Amino acid sequence: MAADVVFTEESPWYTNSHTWGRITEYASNRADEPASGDRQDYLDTLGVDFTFMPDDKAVEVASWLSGVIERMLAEGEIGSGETDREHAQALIRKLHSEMQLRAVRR
Amino acid sequence: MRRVEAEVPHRHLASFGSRPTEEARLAKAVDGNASPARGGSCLRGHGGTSRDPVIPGNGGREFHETAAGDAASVHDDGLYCPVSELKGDEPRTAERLMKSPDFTGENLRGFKATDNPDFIDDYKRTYDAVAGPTAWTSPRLNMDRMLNQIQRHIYDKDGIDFTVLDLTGASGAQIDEVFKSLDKLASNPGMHPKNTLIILGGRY
Repeated sequence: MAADVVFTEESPWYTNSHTWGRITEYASNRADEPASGDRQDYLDTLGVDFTFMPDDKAVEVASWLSGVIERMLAEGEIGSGETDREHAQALIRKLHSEMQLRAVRR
Repeated sequence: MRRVEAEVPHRHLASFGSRPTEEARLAKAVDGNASPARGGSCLRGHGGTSRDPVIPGNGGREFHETAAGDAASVHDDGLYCPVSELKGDEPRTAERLMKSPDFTGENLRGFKATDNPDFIDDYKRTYDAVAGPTAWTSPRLNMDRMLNQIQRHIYDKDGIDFTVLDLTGASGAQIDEVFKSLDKLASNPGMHPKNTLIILGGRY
């Protein structure tokens, strides 16, 4: 289903089920990374909502998800067209903004 | 408590109404690929949007090219995939939508590109699907998040023509919460929907 990534201050980032399915699948397949913890639990069919996370968790999840998207871009798993790349990069920028905001709050 | 209507396969809020199926099919027959506007006879105050330019010269009917439809040419098959190739609940939701009397788009395809809604129909109208069985039955479902998402897609998100709310799998209590929220939003004169809501899912 349509997925939303909802931020504390930035506007939501929207995507469709096709893209969100690929992101969550990619993230699941990277579960072998050390100390993946419960970060994937924050990705569900609705998307991710940082407004429901405490600051520590928001920074952790935003950092992790940003890394996932960056790797997908680098590996060509997402962003086959220029518009798609820009859309993915917009998500990364919003995630970094969330990390900064929440890090200051901590 | 809202009355639960068994045997009713869907509910389409009257205030978010769309053109009846037969009328849309007739429109397509007459006008080729022109898009039936949401400003049809069933539209009663809500459900319209000012962002879609009306294409004149359609014999008294209004047709529009949607913003999202313009952005994605339906002639480029690389942008789309059969709905059966979508993941999770999406293929079944698309099936339910196409069987709904409220669906006037003939056929649906899925979007591959990331910055697009879930589905597009033969008239280049776009659909975002929210909720669905996996979400409703998840032990970790946060109802506030769900209600927020439904509200965002109806009232905040640009570039889609229809929000498809799939209540399949939802409990009676969940459905009551959803309609309580929708009723509250609809009764707020300051809230203006940006697209048309179609509700799927039996037994409510």
